Amino acid sequence: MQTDTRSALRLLGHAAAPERRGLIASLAWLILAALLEVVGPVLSKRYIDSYLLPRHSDFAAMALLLGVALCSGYAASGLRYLQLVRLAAIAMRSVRRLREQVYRHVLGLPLAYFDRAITGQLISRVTNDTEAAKTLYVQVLFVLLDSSIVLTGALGAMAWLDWSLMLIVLPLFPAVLAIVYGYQRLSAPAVSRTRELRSDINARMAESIAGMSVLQASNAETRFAEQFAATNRDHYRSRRVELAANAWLLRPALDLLNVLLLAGVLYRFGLRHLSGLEIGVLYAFVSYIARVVEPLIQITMQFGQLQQAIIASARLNTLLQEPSAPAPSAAATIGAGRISLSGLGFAYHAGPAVLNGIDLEIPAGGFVGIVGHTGSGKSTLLSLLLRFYSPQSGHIEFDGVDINAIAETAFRRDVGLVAQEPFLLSASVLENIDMGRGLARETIERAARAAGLDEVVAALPEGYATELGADGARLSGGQRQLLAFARALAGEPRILLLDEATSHIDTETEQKVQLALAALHGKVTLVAIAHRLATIRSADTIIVLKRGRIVERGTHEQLLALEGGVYQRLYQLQQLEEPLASR
Amino acid sequence: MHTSLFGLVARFIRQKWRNYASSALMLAGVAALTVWIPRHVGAVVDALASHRLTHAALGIALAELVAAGFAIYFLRVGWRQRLYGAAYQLGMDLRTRLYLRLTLQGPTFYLGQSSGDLMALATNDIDAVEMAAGEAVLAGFDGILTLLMVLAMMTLGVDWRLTLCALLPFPLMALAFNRISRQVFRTSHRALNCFGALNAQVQESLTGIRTLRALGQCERAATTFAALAEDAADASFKAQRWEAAYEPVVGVALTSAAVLALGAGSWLVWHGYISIGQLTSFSMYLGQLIWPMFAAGWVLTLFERGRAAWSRLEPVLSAPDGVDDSGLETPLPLDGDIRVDGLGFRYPGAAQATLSEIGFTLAAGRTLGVVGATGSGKSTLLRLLLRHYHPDAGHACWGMHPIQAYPLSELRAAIAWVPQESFLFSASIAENIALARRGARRDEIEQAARLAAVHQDIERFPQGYATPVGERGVTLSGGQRQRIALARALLADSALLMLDDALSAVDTETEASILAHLREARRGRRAIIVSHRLSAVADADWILVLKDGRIAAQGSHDDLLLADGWYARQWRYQQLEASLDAN
Repeated sequence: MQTDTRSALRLLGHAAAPERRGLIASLAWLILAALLEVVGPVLSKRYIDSYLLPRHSDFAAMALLLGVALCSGYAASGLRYLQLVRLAAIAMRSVRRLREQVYRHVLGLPLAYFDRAITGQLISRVTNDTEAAKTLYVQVLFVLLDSSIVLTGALGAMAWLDWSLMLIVLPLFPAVLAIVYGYQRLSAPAVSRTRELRSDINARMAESIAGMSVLQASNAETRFAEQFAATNRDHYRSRRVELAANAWLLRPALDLLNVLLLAGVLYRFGLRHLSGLEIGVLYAFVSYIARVVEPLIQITMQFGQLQQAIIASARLNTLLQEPSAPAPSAAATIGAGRISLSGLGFAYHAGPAVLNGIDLEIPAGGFVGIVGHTGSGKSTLLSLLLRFYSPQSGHIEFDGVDINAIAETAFRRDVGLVAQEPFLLSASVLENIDMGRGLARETIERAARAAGLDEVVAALPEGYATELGADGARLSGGQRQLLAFARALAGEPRILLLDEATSHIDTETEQKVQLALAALHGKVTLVAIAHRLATIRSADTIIVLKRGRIVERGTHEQLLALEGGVYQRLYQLQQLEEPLASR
Repeated sequence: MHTSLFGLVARFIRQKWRNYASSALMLAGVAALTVWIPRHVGAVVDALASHRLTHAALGIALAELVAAGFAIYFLRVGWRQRLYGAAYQLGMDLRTRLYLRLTLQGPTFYLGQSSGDLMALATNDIDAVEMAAGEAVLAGFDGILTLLMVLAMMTLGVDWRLTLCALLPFPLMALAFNRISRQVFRTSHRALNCFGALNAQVQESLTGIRTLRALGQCERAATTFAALAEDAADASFKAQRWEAAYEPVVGVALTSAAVLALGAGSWLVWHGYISIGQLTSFSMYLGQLIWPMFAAGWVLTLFERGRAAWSRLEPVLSAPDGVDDSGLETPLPLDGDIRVDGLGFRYPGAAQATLSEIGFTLAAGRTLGVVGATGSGKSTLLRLLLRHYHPDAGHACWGMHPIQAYPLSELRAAIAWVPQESFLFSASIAENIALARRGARRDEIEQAARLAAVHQDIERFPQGYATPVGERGVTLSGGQRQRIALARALLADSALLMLDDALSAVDTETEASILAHLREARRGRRAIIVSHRLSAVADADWILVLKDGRIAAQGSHDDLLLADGWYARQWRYQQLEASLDAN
């Protein structure tokens, strides 16, 4: 908890670092505001003791005193407001920085991390936990800063008026500390239990809604409702514990201290047999007591949220400690695009091996087709080539350089992917091809032509400027794949990976893709997973994967000639498929 | 039937009148003592100033003060526990009621609701209603009470002229509070929306992290995020700025009132209308008027929020049961024929009928296979038998009566259904299997798992049958999930087993052994098997081939092969495909 708190505060301090100047200015102004505020009761004291009680009728001086009190009060309020607004702005900017940092970090985490992580929790880190950190800023900056300045000011003024009386106020601090300590002890476990139960309630609710038909079909809905009610009751009980801690130890207890303090001050006055002149001091003290207790109340009221915010920041800190992939020191680039795989082996998280002893050499500009049944390891092989995972054994080298040594930007620029389910933005065709890379119009149109997309674009009402709607709703499955193809080509990659890129395309479009691939053949290194064998017919080499191993390799003709081979049977299967599909 | 929020809260107050009445009494006690204290302090100050106070009298006066402080403390602790405790209970009750309501709704209801909205009802909206029943009632009652008492003490206990004069700024303060609280509500609403947008972007990008990474789009996502984070920060800042506006309003109003009180008060003291002690207590009262001014706006805001939440919650709570459960025929004749005749169904809002003219008879001990292309209506047929929807034409009978004539729970107990998407709950594997038969013995559970060919898989987990699954549990393969769902249905041991493509993720060999187990264990009972894989229905007594919601062909496996239609082509294709998976 201690180290959590410290690391959480360090994280937040780091995010607020660029605001140091503004913070110092705010601090200075707040101190001035506090001075102006504590001046009020001093003026009242002077007014009462020098004019009112001795009946010294100097109306001009009295009016002046009241006027100064009024102005200093107004000025204090105005200054406070301006500083609170400034601090809020600082807090928001800091949270924004923190959010961006966390989000960027999450985007850069290795994909293996996402396999393990529950996406919902990760989203909650980026949004809810930074939101909780925001509370911390606002509370720390607003309340703690402001309240402690006012507190110090009031104490100072009291000491200046009568320092021995001020001493009566001092036991307030250990008392408040004791109360806060007790509150922490009592409420922290209840607070975290309530949170847990609350997310339990959410989880049960979500699960039951999703699985309601199964629950009903099993006649189990009443039983689940009972379980839900039990969790709900536990949540209620835990909240009652929290409520009790709040009631016994927060606001009511601090208000009690206020009264005790008042009694103490009055008692000291009573002992002194004060002269009439000192009544003004009493008047001022009574005003100050509220100004000492109120900030203390404000400070302690924040502890609950403070606790949550610190827990959230500690979680953020843990997330930020996760090593990102790849090593930022990687600086190599990709040359001509020669790929060599040697002894490649891979398994997901201690599961069975998905790939085993894969050896493959692809010369720059070569074309390799990968064929295999579902679960043969094709997509995993592609994921490894995309550097989504690191192989457990063996190496992948591009132009003789280990792929982990290649800089991220160079890697993504030179390795293109045409995914099976293309991800489209709800934006124009142009933006969908460009994808924020700032490419020249010329480059984009050339890529569209090369991918055979130009005819599709010509048929759209506004050509390249046509908006595609949410998730590219305007395009058919085949057109979406052509667009993804054009997008990859526009980046002028050295290595192009195709993941079942022709599965949704009709025969006519398929021919376009084949032509495009033929045009690229020799210039760009091509690795294509193909469902339709026609796509990879012209490949230099076709490898057939089965249970993570290469079982056949050769050209289309060589593999077809292998009697009883996997490729041959796959080919026959597709011959049968045609009439089924066109049924 | 429809209740307003006001009606709900009023009913709840009547129901919990003890809590509310005792809270009201305690609040009144707090208010009375709170206004008594300044008066008492004023009297002590006067006595001190005029040197009338003996040591003993001072002791008594202060003891009274301390006693009042403690009394306030206990009363405050008391009302908090009673009032908020009751409100928490309302929240709990509403949540349980909502859950129960949801268990009585059928798929038609869920089609029209997003699960996110339903979740929000269970959390945020119920919280808002709870606040209206607790916080708002408190603020309304206590605000008015404090206002009246303080005003009474000021006018009757001090001086009405002074009161009128010093109160001048307060109506302005109330107006400003009202305006600010409305702005705070508006701006924080916008801040919440911005936060929602941020959340959605994080969700989208983290779900699609692979595509983002492959396309090198992380930078772009980070830019989008930065823009959204800026909007969120800006909206938050505006809300925060309005919240900060409370500060100067209180400051200016209170300073004005204090200076007015001191100016006008000194005239009164000068002329002997009031004492200096009375002036002291008067200035203490001023501070106590802030809360009632604030409470006025606060109550309105809370009630508005509560009303908005209740208007969303109420329709769901009062929605009629989704499935009519008025059948009284009992018991359901388990051995009776199932006869389906001229069955037709169209999904609400769909252009075309999903099923039409479906008819078959399923006698005890027989197995029916249903096959056909995706979207041919296979799953819908099963859902009609489960009474998820009501058919538009024709009827389905079990024994002598249509299925609606039997109580829903009996019909559900007679059918064990394994849906396409196997749904597992966050519980142990054993609990998941025993879903439909609470208190099943361990050996029965294991027997069902053996029949579903998943026993060995389960034994291999470190915790065996106690292994937790679901969101926080182990990750199971699709095939394992399906087989556990199947074991669940087998344990239910119902008269009719319905498998909806329930073995699609299981390899053919395991499928064959499961089907053999089923034939053995369920001898004499009925099954309807829907499958894409024809091998699953090849042994069925009768097979329906559906096309576009109609029966395109029917007969035994051999009949259908002879007919050489879709079934025969599909069969040949799947045989060849299977040969690729083998060896």
